[in-house]
Amino acid sequence: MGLTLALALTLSACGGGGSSYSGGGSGGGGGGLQVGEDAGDLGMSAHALRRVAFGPTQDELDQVVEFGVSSWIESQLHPSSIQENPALQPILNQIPYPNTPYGTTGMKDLVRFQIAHAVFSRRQLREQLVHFWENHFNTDYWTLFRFLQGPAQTRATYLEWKENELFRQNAFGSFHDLLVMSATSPNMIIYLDNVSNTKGNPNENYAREVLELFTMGVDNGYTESDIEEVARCFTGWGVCEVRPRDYGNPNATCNTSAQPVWSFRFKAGQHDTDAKTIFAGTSYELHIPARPQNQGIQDGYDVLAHLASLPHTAEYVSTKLIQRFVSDSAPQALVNECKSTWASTDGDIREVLRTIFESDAFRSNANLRWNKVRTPFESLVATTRALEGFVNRPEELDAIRNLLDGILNQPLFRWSTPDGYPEDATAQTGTGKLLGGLIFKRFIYDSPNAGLRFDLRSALTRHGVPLGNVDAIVDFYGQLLFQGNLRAAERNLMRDFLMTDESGNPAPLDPAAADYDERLHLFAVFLCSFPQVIQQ
Amino acid sequence: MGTINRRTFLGFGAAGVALGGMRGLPGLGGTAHAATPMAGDKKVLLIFLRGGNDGTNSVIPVSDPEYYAARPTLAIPSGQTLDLGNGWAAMHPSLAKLHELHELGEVASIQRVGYPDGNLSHFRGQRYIETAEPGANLADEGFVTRWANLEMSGSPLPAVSVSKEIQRMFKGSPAMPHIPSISAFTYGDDAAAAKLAGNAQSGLRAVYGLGSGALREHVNESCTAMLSTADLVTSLPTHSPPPEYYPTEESILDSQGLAADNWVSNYFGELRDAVRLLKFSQARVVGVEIPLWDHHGNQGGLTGDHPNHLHALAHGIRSVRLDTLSDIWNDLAIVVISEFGRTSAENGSAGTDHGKGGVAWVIGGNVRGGVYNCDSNTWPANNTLFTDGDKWLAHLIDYRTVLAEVFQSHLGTAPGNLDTIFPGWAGLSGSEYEYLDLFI
Repeated sequence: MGLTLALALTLSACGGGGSSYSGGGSGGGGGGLQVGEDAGDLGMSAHALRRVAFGPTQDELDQVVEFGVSSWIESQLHPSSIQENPALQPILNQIPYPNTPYGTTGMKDLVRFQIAHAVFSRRQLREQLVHFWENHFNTDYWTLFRFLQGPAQTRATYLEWKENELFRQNAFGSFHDLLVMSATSPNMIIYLDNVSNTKGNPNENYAREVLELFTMGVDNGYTESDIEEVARCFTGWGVCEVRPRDYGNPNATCNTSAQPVWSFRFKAGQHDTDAKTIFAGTSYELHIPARPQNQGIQDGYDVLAHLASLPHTAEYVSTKLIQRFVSDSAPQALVNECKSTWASTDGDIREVLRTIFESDAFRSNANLRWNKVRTPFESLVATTRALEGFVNRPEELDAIRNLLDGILNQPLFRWSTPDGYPEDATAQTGTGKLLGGLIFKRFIYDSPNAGLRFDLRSALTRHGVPLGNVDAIVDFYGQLLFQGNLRAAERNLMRDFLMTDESGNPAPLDPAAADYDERLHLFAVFLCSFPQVIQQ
Repeated sequence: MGTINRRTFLGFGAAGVALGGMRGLPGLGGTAHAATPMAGDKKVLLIFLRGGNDGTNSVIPVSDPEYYAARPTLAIPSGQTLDLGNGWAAMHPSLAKLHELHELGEVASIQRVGYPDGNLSHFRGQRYIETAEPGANLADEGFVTRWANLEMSGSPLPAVSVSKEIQRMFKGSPAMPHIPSISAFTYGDDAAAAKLAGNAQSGLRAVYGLGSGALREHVNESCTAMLSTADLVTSLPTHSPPPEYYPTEESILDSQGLAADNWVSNYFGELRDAVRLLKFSQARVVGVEIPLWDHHGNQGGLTGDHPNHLHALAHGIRSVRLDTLSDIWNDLAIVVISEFGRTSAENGSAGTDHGKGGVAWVIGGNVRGGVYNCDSNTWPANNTLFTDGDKWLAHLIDYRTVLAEVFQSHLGTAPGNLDTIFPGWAGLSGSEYEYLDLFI
């Protein structure tokens, strides 16, 4: 392998300027990959890239075919083993990192940071999970903005950024850890009103949603009185400003001097110290003893630990992961397998994912390929990746950001309701979203005028596709974009498009002709408006 | 298909015409609008209040002393409420612009609207109302779509969801068009846009006719509707109401109320677009929404976020009236609904948690105005606020009854279709089932 790898790297170094996809084969950061028994399976490889990643690039497709899906997924489950795409860091370097809540970093920077990772990172599964956890434990920047005083914009951005870092660092960790991170983040404490949840007359907002949306799932094993009891357990969970070194310490002294940061703060005097009983009379009843005020914080931790261990939670969160990676309608057998894994690993997300990715449902069930609709974010990122779009400056990613904030209505970190944006198929197919997806394709045509650029001629050259060979071009994109889901009639349409000039007259495709690049880019606009592009 | 070339895609060839005829759905362009407002057809504007409006602080039982006992900080002093004339109920003062229409007899304020075993989850509650199928947790087809399929077959544009997300009321097969904003629903106006439009109008229509399987067919159908909707929007007559009808957030709220993602401006934008569609297209039902009614904390009594929401809601309804008074107002019924009401007692955060029976309004030129289910006859001043679960107002009328009456008495929906459009409604009994006689 060594020689191949060296060659690939050498070739990529000579590749077209700006390409972020170079590296081919094993050069794609998969230095430790071993060829597996399932190598050579194009259909499974492309499917895995549509789900585990935000869609294939040709380099990654080559890599997964070469080494096999099992070997590649194993590497994705251990992202630190993957050599990162050298094109990513130069973009990230231009995004101002919020060392404090008092800088200039705003939400647009965080959104660009998130988009850059999804498009360019080779640790694709981690990025998928960052999105999954951000959406599962949704908090809304605007709620923070309204609550926080002073420089509310940068303070709210700072908190959203810190939360994003936690999800990225712990994407594959234990569900219990993720749940605690979310519950103790100032973001969540403010967003769902634990910040004003006090003894005697509690606020049910977090209590209801932690059961309904974050752990057990709606109407799945809890009652109204359980919500009331859980709400009592979280009385006193508030926030205050502390010195930066005290961030995250719920017992730290509040301190508003010297550029403080907002942090979780347990307000013992507001805590209901009486005993509580949750799930009374069930096999999973949880009794919380009366505790002195200064130990009252333990009530909330006990509740979170109990919720994370419940089979209801294993069922609900596994179902959501299966819906994300396999099918909107989760196969019950796979849900059951995931619940077993959850029980035997204390909710280790990496192991639950392994169960999903090793299942027949994921690997071999033909009915479960191309059976999901992409969210707008997934669709735009997948198109950009497949056509090897690139930027030099982070603000050029606003081609994607502006549409997500506008007609596509997927404003990252600013979804107002705690359920997160909808991921099911029929939520993605409203005519407004489809038009927004179509409009995005203008950037393929507008290149190189647009900030987000596509150089299709160079990409074809780099992948060894003869520029004047219509069938080779059609086959290349047909495989990359539509593997296993391209009809003869669609292929004919693609072919005819390439063999027709701007006036609609038959004309051979000639790389030396003046209209070549426009014809090629319009062809890509056409392809990327096929229905399959919003499917996965 | 093998003979199709790019001449066809670009719309030059005769084959392009033939292709148009192959599509599954008819084109909308040129037939779905008129240059002058279309009067005569009855129309409905739905306004969904997402998050659960606090009905108890909207149509207020001012003569029930328990209201004041339960809400030490949120209750509106009776001297500051707007009297509704029945000696029992009054409007929140932030609904002043709606109260003006009440005085004209055009507002039906309906308290205690809900459904059996009301669900306290926002997302279940909204699903149950929008599919009109309480308890059907996977239902995904909206009552508007079912109505359109039964009553409007052949119409190129029965209904439109004017909202950021397509509202579930408008989902189904085929889903009704979803137009987040008319001005944004365009390919653009430059060279690249022309290329997109050229692609869309010829080549893509062909692709959207290929393939099989439920998901592909759904996507094809939706994509085709998208192209047709773009045609329609492009050819809609312009509409230029006075700017003050549809104001910006900054112009109607004080600075304390701002910064919530421009929800007010967005609501007024949706209303302006909804009126344009109701006036100039064949759309009979249009739906808009207002987010962020989930006031668990600091909701505000006389001032604050909940009053701001009421103010925006009422301001917008009055604007629609002003904007349509000369043409379609008497053909229009506005329906305002939310997924649930809230706890009758305030919580320790000066807010309210999820509840059951809530408020709906039906408003229009031929509406029989008045107060329903909030009067001394039907509201014993003893525990009514806590009849359900010791926390909530029980519902007295089913939301499907309110909607069925609007659809039958106003839109003229055939009675035999109502139990299909609103499943289970005909099986209810008593006040849950009986019409309120909302229309003149």
